[in-house]
Amino acid sequence: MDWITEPLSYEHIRRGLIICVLVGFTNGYLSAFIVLRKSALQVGSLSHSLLPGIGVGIILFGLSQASAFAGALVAALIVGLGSLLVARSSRLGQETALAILFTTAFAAGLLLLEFAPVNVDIDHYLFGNILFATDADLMTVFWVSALSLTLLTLLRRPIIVMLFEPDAARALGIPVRTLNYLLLGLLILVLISTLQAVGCLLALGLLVTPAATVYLLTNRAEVLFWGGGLVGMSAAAIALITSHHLNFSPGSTIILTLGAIFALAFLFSPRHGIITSLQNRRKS
Amino acid sequence: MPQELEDLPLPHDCGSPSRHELRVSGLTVRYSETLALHSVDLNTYCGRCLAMVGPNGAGKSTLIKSMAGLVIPESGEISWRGKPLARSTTEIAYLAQRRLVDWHFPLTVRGLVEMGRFPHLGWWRKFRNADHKVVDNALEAMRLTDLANRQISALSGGQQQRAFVARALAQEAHVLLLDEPFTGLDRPSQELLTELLGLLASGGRLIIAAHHDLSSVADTFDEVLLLNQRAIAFGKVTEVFNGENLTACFGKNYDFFKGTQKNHRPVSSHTSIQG
Repeated sequence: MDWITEPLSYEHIRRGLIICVLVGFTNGYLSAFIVLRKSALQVGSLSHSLLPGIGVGIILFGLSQASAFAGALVAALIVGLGSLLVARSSRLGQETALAILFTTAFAAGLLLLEFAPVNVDIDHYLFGNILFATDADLMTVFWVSALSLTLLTLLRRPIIVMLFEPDAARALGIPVRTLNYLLLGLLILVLISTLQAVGCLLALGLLVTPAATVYLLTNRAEVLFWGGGLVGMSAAAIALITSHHLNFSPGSTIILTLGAIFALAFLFSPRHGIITSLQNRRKS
Repeated sequence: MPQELEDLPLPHDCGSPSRHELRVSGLTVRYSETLALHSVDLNTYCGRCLAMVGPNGAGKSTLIKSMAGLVIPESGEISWRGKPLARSTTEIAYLAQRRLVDWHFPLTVRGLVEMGRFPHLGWWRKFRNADHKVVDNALEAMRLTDLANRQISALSGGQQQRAFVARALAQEAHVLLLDEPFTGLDRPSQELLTELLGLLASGGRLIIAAHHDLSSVADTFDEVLLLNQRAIAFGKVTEVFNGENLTACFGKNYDFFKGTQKNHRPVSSHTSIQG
């Protein structure tokens, strides 16, 4: 029991744990949409594009949480919406457009941070550090989680139809374009609020792995959402406590824990597991 | 007609089929530089079963999508029951080509058919008994009751196609737009689908399908549009589905009877499936 209570005697770990629970659940829940939409690459691109925004935000408004947040938001919007525009108005696919936009943005971001007038620790934004989170971070995470979980739950019916078959959804009168922009907007908000916990490079893992794991275990879309949330939440919380004891970086530990859970599901899932199907083959 | 088909509600009385007309006039569609459809005209009524036939790239899918409101035409219009076809209407159901559908999506047959109720329920309202009844009837009409709880990935091609038709029935759609519904189905599945679509048409629905198997046109459909960007010919299968029009549509060197049986000549006399 000491294993859990001892770390909780520190205030920064208590705060970090709350953030882990919120960020883990929200990302896990959202990851169901990303897995169903097969848009992990898009999310990866977005998470990378946050960096230049942070750079510009810090150069313009000085080193603060708010300026980094605003910069990241603007950058992600430009890259996310820009890719939709480029893809729509030219013969390039959206994935191609995204790849170009985000590598450019990422390179620009690295350069900008090097020349920033204040001393910025790039690692902090690339890999995050949840133990340095402030109360302001906590409130940001809370409101972003509340907003995105509410909207996603309310709109789940049309969103699922859209993810399954965009054309049929449009023919059924679902405003596919608006919903797509909304999903993208929520994704960006969640990404930014996740930045503090695991950084922009590792945010992708938290936004894809939970539901991908559950996807191997269930055939029901409903389970994917709540299951993804639970997996994300518990993995993040356990990883935070573990990282304290082992003196590991919390962000990396969270992603490694998720990766380990995914590997277990991949090997042993009753229906889709590699080892399970090998065993079944031997039996029959 | 089987009982379960009679139980399925039609949104409007179809006693006098001539009142429900789908009219396409002067439809021209262009994808950036490529002309897909050029000034296509046709008009048809509910109770009919219409095939769109033409070589690859003739614009069959484009015409289907235009009717579903998924493609914005450059000019021309499509009207349904005298009014311009709104961008979306619950009376029209679009069934995409099976190969374009993500069949690994975690969804059961019943879950798929239930999606047809969403336009009636809106985004939040719960299913009522009446909605479940409509879904049950749609499943039964498409002979899918026993498979209701099966994953869509575990269905055969024919079952997948019927599940989509069942969704259209749950939607209470009046017009079914099907893109290549028979492609990749084995013979028994094709025959069952033909029979069921025929029943739906005789029940007052309008069936429109892009179709590529010329040998089965006469057995399956009662009207045909020969399409090659322009409407080459349109009318009753018995009247316009002949060698002259097919040559005009496909070109001289096309092998019409490739892989088909001799007694399936497209010009053979056909019996109306409306009975």
